[in-house]
Amino acid sequence: MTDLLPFIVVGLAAGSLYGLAGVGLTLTYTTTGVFNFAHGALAAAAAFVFFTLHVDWGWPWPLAVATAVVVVGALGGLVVERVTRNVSEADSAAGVVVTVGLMLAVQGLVQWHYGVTTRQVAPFLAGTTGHIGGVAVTAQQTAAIVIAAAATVGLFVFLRTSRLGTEMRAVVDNSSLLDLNGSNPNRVRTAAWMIGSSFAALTGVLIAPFLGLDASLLTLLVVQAFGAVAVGRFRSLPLTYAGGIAIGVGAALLTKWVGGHTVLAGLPAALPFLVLFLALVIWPPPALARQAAGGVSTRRTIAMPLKAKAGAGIVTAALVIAVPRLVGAKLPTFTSGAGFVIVFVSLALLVRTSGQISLCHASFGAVGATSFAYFASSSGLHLPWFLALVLAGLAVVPLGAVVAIPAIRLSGLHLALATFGFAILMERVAYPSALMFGALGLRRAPRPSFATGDTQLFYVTVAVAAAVCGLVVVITRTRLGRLLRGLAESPLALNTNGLNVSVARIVVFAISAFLAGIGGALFAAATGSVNGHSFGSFNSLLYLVILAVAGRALIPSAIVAAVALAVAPAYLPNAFVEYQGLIFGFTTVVLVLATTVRVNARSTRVVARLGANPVRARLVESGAST
Amino acid sequence: MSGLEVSGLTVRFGGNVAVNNLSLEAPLGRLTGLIGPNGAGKTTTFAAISGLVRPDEGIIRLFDRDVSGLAAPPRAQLGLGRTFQRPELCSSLSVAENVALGWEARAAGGNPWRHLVPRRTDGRALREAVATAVELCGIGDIRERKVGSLSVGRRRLVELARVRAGGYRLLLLDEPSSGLETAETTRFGAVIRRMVDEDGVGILLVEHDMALVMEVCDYLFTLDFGERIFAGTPAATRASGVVRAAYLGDAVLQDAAG
Ligand SMILES: Nc1ncnc2c1ncn2[C@@H]1O[C@H](COP(=O)(O)OP(=O)(O)OP(=O)(O)O)[C@@H](O)[C@H]1O
Ligand SMILES: [Mg+2]
Repeated sequence: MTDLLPFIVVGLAAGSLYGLAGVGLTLTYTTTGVFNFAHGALAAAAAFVFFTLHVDWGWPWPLAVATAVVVVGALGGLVVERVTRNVSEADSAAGVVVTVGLMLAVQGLVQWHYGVTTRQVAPFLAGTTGHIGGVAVTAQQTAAIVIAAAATVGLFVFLRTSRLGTEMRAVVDNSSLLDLNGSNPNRVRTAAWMIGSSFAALTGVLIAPFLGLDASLLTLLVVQAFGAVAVGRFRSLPLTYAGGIAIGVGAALLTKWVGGHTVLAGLPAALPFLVLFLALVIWPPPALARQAAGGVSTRRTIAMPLKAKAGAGIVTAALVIAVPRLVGAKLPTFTSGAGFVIVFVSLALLVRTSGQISLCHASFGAVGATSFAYFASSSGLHLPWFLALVLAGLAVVPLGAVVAIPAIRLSGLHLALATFGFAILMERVAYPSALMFGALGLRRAPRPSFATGDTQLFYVTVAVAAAVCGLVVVITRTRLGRLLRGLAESPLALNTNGLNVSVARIVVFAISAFLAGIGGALFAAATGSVNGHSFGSFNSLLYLVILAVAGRALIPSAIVAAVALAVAPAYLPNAFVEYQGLIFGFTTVVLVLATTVRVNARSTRVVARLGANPVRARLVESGAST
Repeated sequence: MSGLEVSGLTVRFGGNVAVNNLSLEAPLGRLTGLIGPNGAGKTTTFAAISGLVRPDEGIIRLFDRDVSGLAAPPRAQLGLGRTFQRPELCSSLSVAENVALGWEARAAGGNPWRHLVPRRTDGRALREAVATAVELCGIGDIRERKVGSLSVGRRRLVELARVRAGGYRLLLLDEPSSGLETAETTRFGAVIRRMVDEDGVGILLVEHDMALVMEVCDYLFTLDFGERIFAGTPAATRASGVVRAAYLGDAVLQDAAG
């Protein structure tokens, strides 16, 4: 037991902070209906602000802590509130896209200003506060535990006793009634975002001494918070806090037990995701009363006349055919770009036709790439090249099904969370294993025997990409496409007409995973070899925001996105690649602010609520019709 | 008796009992009415029958089969169709597309393969079903119009065409005539009467238009505060004291509102 004590102490300190972050996240989710993926990025920002104030400028720590928490909390809260204000609660996909964009923007901003290298920081509280069973407990650890507990209890009491707190709880249950009673839900929302962001900021400041000042590490803190939130079933603050502590202690103990086994080294870090995943599957949260089925906004793009479409197609085709003559030595970049067109088309199919979000498409690409290498290479099964390509896509499907099926049955948000958890799990546990990238951290992927030259390979890849685009267009125009379009507008109608709504969503997810696997395989063949870096969890987030800014039309947006991600860097300074997250995340946020699609969420919500009360709904209806 | 049988149905929302120990039957070949003042629990009854709300107590049998444990889609697959008090349609699609979507939803069901690849005969069967239903419901002239541009009354007709095209044997219609003009209402009454008499479907009709109800229904169940207060022919219902008493309160309420 005594040899476990040090780990328990470490785990308690870390877990308290996970709990603290989780409590802030649960608060904002329940009061606003928007799940904030940027929560950890705010923590990162606050940590950097604090250390600038305290270490670089020499401010006393209490003042620096207070300033960082208040400034980042208030500012962050205002920004998140503004950015998510017009996101309709029924449209969970929009909420995910916007907050993921914000997350990449904030993280990119911090890295831009402070650089990407981890800075070790001394604890700002020196010394130890005592010993438990011979184990020294540092002042920093004690502070983390005490402050987190105090903040959580404080928030709990605030919600129960103050007027604003009561209003926040009321918003959760019934925001339109609050509206009718004269309170202003926007004020309540803003307050919730500020409090939630302050909790994130406080977590960042307190956890940086343990983690080091590393923007991406601190940003990913959000996932520990996700785990805690899932344990709290997305609504209970005390359970969230307890979940955070359990994850912290569990991860610390796992670290000890895993010990020297390098195979399992990633497991402790992946624990929060396992918790998140299992909690979603085993103990699914009760549906929020106002949680509508996800669906894409039904604003349709203005259809191009057929002639213009044909013209655009011919111009594109001519350009593509001419590429090998025009670009010289940069041709391989274009070949991998063509591979990425497939990855983006697969994501676009999922997002635009079914309103579902995947945050693990890079992982699907990685699985496709490694299975392709195994099927096609001479050291593997050495199957015919095209057969290996199709098998690589098929290999991804069962994996995608395991991740997606439990979550899809719950909601679009749960799918986003589950896929994000899966992406991190893959990156930490599967990528380093022999099964995927192996000890070398790299897999070789062959070119087809009939296209060994760069130019031939380019044409083969483009041909596959064109075939995939054609397939996707066909899918969207035939039965599945029609059903999904119907689902976006009236899931209830299809459900009561005999359609198993989850099956439709799962089918499109499986197709998307299959295509992403093929895209990854082609990328691997184009570059000759792949490693885990090309398919990190961060990449999946990047795909999503790039696609979001690339336009609304299915195929063109995928092509634009692939060019922006894979081809543009060859023509731009290196800094561009480094700051892709910042650039595209920021653009997403700006676009959301600029193209305010005022669906008038508030009024539709009132009507929806009134629908539950037929008498009043009828009064409203007759009032509207006369 | 084959058709729909509900026995002992109770639905609570929190402490509020919306439907209390309700039993009713809607056999095939009969046009059964379900009436009652606002908030009596008619829509909630429909939700429980179609599988959208899990009842606290009670058994629902469909064509001699206990479907109480089934979700909404399998109940529809068994032949139960419905319309909604607030029409559930895709406003960005045309009338014909909406009608066809119901048919396709049923054809796809829970079979992943059928989501992707229709049966060979599906195309023709679908076109015929849509054409017949659209004509029958008198919306042939607006087939290509977007549903978003239609009046509420017309939308109800689109919903009716959708259940008709779906080939359902038992229909739950929730206030299908509200929003229709007088001539349309008359025509509507004739259409559902024909469905029952000629095609032999069973209909459970929720309606506030008493003239229509009395005219077309074969049998009526009357609800008040979630309880069944009367069951009988239209003539018997009209004569019933309890029914009058229940509607009196509602009339006052409606006068006050109007
Ligand atoms: N989702 C819900 N949550 C809570 N209460 C509900 C809900 N749906 C209905 N109710 C309540 O249940 C009771 C019955 O409502 P229901 O809609 O079934 O009545 P109705 O007979 O269809 O009325 P109307 O003629 O106005 O359509 C009402 O008191 C209503 O407020
Ligand atoms: Mg009703």
